[in-house]
Amino acid sequence: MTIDPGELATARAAIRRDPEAIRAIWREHRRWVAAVLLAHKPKGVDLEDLLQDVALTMVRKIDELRDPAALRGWLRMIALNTALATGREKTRRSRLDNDFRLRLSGAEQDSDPIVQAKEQASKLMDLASELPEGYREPLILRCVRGMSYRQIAQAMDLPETTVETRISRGRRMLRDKLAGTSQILEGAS
Amino acid sequence: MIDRDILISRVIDGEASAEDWSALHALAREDSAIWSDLASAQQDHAELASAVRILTAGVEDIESPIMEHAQASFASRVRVAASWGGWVAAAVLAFSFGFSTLGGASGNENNTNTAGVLPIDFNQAKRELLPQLSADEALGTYVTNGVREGRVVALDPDLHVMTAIPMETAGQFEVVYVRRILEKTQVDLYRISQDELGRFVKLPVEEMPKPRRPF
Repeated sequence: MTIDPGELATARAAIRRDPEAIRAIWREHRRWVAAVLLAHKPKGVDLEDLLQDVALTMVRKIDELRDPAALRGWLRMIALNTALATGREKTRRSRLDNDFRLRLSGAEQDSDPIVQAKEQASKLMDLASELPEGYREPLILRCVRGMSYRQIAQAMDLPETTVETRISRGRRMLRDKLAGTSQILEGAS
Repeated sequence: MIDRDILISRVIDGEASAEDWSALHALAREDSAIWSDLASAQQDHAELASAVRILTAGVEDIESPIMEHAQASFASRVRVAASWGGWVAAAVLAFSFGFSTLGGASGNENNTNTAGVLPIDFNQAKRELLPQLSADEALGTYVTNGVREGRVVALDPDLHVMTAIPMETAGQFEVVYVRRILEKTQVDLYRISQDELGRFVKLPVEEMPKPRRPF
C-alpha cells in the first residue's frame, strides 16, 4: 500500500521526537483514532478520557515505531489496547455503574436539543456496537470525513477489497437492526 | 455479477464507476426496490456519520501532551543526573580534601621531597587550577567548603523545572530550573520599637520561650 510522502516525512520526524511533527501527527489522526475508540470502547466510558490516554501513549512511545509507513496501524493498536484495558477495568466496575444508573433513571430527561442529539447519537452507536467487531470498526471509520477505503485498509492492515466488503455488509446488518428496532417500536405503539 | 450491497455501498461512498451504475440500472429493471434500498442505506449512513460527528465533537480540543511529557521525562532525567551529580560532588570533595590535606602537610611552599618523589608546590597548584574549575566543580567546591565551614546544610538533589522550551534540534529542550542550596548562618536579630520620645529603635530579640510539654 502506498503512503503519502508528506505523511511519511512527518512520521519520520516524529520518530526522532520532533515536537512539531508529533503535534502535526496527532492533529491529523486524532479524529479517526477517536472513531476506533468509539467502535471498541465499553459503554459508559468517556471517549475523551480514552483519547487522552492514547495521546499520552503516542507521545511516550513514538520513538519505538520502527516503520514510519506503519504509523496508522500503530496508532490503531494503541487505541485498541487502550479500549481493551478500559474494558477489563469496566467489567470490575460494571455492577457499581448499573446500580448508579438505576438510581439516575427517570432523572435523566433533558430538553436541551444538544443533549437530545447526543442521546440519539448514543442510541444509534449502541445499535452499531452490536455488529460483529470486524464489520463495526470499518463502518464507523468510513463515517469519519476524508477516511477512504485505502486509509481504513492501512490502519486495519487489510486489503481494500476486504474493507469494502465489510463496510457494505456492516451497512446491511445495521439497516436490518434499525428495521427491527422500528418494527418493535411500531408494535409497542 | 457485483453484489447488490456492494453496489449500494459504492454509490453511498461516491466510489461507483460507470460499470457500477450500469449494473445498478440493470438490477433496478428487474427489482425497482433497489432504489428504496439505496435511499434507506444513504439515510442510515448519514445518521451514523452524524452520530460519529456528534460523539467525537470534543476531540479537536485534545492536544498531544508533548510538553507535559517532556517536562516529566526531563525531571526524571535530572533526578538521575543529580544522583550522578552527587558522585561528582563527592569526587570534587575528595579532590579538594586531598588538596588541603596534602597542601597542609607540605607545611611550606619550598618543601623539598627527600624521599625521591618529585617536589610539588601545592599552593601554586591550587592557584593555577582553581580558576580552571568548571561550574559544576566550582559548585562542588563551594558546597564542600560550605559544609566544612558550617554554612551549607545540604544541596537539594532535585532540580525544580520552571519552563521547558523546545529547540530547533529534535528532542532538545532549553530548560530553566532552580537549584536549591540549604544554608545556615548566625545573626543577631532585632525588632523595631519606639522609645519614649517616639523614635524608632532596634531592640535585641529575646530567646523564644520553649514550648511547654503538652503533658
